[in-house]
Amino acid sequence: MFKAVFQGILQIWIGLTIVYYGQTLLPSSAEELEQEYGITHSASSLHIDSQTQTLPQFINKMVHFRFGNSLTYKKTVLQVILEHLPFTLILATLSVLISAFISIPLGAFLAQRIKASLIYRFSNLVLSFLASIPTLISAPFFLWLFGLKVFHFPLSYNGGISSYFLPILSISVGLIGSLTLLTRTAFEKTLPQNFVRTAYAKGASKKLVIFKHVFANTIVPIFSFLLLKFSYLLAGSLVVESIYGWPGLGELLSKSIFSRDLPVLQATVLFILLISVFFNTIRSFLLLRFSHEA
Amino acid sequence: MKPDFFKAFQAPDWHSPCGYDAYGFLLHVRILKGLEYSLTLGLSIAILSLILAVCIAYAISKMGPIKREFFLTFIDTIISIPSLLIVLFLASVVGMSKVTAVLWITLLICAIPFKIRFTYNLIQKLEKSSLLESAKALGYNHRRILWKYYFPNLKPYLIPLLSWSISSTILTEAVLSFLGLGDPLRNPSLGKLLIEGKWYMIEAPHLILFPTIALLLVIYFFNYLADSIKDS
Repeated sequence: MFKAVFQGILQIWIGLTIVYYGQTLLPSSAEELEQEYGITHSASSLHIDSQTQTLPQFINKMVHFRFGNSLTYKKTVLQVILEHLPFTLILATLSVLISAFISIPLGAFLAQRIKASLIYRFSNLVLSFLASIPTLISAPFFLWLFGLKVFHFPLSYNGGISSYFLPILSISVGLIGSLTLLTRTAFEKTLPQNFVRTAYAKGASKKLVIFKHVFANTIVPIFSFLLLKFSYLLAGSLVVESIYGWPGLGELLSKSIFSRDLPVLQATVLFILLISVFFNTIRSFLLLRFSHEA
Repeated sequence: MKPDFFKAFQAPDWHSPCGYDAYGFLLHVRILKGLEYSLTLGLSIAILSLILAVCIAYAISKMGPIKREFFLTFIDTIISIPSLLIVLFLASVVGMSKVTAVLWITLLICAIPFKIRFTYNLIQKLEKSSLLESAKALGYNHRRILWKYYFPNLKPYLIPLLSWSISSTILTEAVLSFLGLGDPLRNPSLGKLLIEGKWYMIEAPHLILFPTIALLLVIYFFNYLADSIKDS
């Protein structure tokens, strides 16, 4: 319990330290700037300002969410981030939920087939292929297929529900592959165990055994995987977001990289880190509480 | 290779199996060069990080309990920080002129912590086994135990890890290139070819089709290799 919280704080501290020392890699002195970009000292005072502070000052500022003003948006950084945050959360939540609803029943179904059967071997091939499709490939592919060739779904976010389809599909494809394989393995490990046989022997129906006894014992690794994927998606949906113009944190991140908007970049990295630390801590709580091994 | 600008965007035919790209280069030559770059990067980073990780994991397993707990907590902490985020931040902040070295170093550093944890768990499992106990009881020295007992027993687990690490490094590099943060030199990596093709998706779909297939095949190949070695 204590360890999980301690790890979370340590994670934020490490992240902040990397961000702090990362910005010192920027060309700071006037000579360096002239050498690198050919601009004079006065034009670059914005960047230099951020380097005169010490690490404790920087951490103090970041922990109190005092990020300052954005260089490109005419708002404070916190406003910009709070505008973009819900979109990333919605995208990550929906794709994780949808792929869970598809792949957990599918994995449970496949685990009960015979290993030599055609459907098992075929699904094995397809699923391991799906699991190795990165969003970098699925996103342009579905953009081309369902956006340009058939169905003509909206190519970018337009406020309507139909524009959710393509981003969620692109993220879910890889997720469904890996999650189904995981569920199948977890079920295959649980099904031959003694308590399942006991449950059958006392006359419980197949539905009851699968749903109550087996599922309850496989939910821990599945749920832990889902939380892990969720926290990964916050940063990992960046490719999908920048391809579909989805106004989330990833899009904000890539935009602020190109416009060299350092305050926004720092704050976005910190926010993604905070959320993923939050979910990681929940995950380790759950693992400590429910896992048989730990 | 000289570009032929009048043939830019030409569709595939017998003389150019993948067609021409936006600058009039033969696309299959650029894809092969991109593959060469990505594979060099993936292989060297995977091998280097694996060697470093095995050394560190072995060192940690020889430490006292308090020190060991400290290092393990630290490593667990780093593992759950999303590494893509860190690579992205450093690559964007450092600027384009120095990015190549920083890119390689950051990819290397981000690849290490998970491997340390993985190898450490393997070593723990191995040290509890009767195999090592009997070797120690026979009075073999450290070097003999290391080479004859540790490595042969770790190898079947480490080689799939290596293969998996190659594919994930290639993918991370492709994502960075896709966002315009990759190697700024003229080396075509697979991610760079992908983003070049993205702009001409409607007019010349072969520009994005062939790099996509190449990347998919490489990643699937290394993942499949890892799975089949692990199963055998």
